[in-house]
Amino acid sequence: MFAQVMFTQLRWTRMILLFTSVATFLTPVIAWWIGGTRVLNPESPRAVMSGFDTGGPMLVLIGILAAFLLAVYPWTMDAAARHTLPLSLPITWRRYVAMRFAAGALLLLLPALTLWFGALLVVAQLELPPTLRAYPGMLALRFLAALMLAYSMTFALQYLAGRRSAAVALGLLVGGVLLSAGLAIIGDGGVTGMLFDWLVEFPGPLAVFASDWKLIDV
Amino acid sequence: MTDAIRIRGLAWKAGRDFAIQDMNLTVPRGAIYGFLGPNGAGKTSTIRLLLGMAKPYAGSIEVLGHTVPRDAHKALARIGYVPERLHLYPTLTVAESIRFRRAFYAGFDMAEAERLRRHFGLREHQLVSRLSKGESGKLMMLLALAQRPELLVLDEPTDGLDPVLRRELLASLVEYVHTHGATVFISSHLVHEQERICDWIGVMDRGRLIAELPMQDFRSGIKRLRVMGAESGSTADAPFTVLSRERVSERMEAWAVRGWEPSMNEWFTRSAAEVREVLDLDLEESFVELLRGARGDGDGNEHGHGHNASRETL
Repeated sequence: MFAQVMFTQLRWTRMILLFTSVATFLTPVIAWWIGGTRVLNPESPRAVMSGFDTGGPMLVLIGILAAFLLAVYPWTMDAAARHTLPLSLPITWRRYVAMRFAAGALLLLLPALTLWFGALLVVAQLELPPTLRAYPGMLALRFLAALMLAYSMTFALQYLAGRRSAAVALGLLVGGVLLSAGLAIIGDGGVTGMLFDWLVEFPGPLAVFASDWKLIDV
Repeated sequence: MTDAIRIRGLAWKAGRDFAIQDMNLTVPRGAIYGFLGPNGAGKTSTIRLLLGMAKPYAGSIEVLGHTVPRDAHKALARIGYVPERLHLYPTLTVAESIRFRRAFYAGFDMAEAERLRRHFGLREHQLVSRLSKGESGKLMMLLALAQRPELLVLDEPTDGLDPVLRRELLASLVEYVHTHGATVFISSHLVHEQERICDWIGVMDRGRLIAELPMQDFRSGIKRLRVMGAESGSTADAPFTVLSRERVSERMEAWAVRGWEPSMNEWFTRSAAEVREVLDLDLEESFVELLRGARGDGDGNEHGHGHNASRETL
């Protein structure tokens, strides 16, 4: 049962997964190549680190986009037929949604794995102390955490708000902007900053998105 | 033995304009139950309710002994459902759609699915999105039949199909029912199609079940009378149900009635009227007269059994 649910999801999102996985594999490789070309010393960790300055955040954006699409796709496919297919299956809606969630989450392991392989490959080319060689694993884990967070938030919003999810998301965004603008006008802009800091600074709920996306952090 | 479907006092509302009101419906086990009604009568809504896809405001629904919507998933394991619109994933092929369905049904008969696929001329690797309307209908019927269901719920399964295809699908259905003794609940507005295969009929209009009776009674139960000299007064005391009455000429009226017996002539003679002719209506005419009666067109009195008539009263 779960295998079939996963198969359908793979069918729908295979191009997104392929693109994301290739991108996550190539990002450290390209960073190494660019850094190496610029300083003519591809073995230099510092060159590779500087090459990853742009690639790292880009990688996260691609990952978040992929997670978003993977969360939205199953709902959209079912909504096209008024959810008649899942609702007519002999399982509870809760179980069906759980299987859809789990299938998407498992598929998101793929880009995290390719990032790990790509990063391992690059690190293998560098002269590094043994302790720093663990960084690719940490990077892949943090990337996976970011993917899962983006995926879970989108999936929850989509399945809880249904057709109104886009409106709810837009409402939250506009509400946030208006609130911060209002606070700025009454001269209490610091609250917005504090709230933002609380969200993105460790141990805030969105801290993983704002991590330091470096291949090697020294 | 319990009934396959038992609905009591069902109420449901969609928006401001449509509501299902106090519906009672019974489908005996082993019956082929035709669920008739014009477009927008509430047939699909009723089906969604009895499959647990929508929650009623009031009333109870029992399907194959399971309370719906609470235990809908248990009932659904024993139901083959063909919805009005295609509900398969368009990106899957025919073979993948069959495998997907097989994963959810313990009793899914893969050999039967393969036999039906060949019989219907469906190609394994064809994408669902590329199937014609007829092929989609065949695939949905295939999936429903291969589940080996005890109850088949079909929502306008042949709507928009050509007559040859319609007959082919209905023949497969009848063959399955005869082989497995399953119950069928088939919704349609194609009256003649129902006439060929059904042994029970339920007629729905504007959210109300206006009649439920064995096909035999439906066929022979509604008559058109040509009445001479009828008074224009109330017919509430008539021993039959007047569905509609129309003036044909100055003294002649055409009455559509239900529950007519020749002995009821006496009722007319008491008021100096006379029944000149009694005509049998075909199923489609009966259906139309039932609807007219329920809507109060043509001076029908809806006497006695006009609303949500039960089988006992017919």
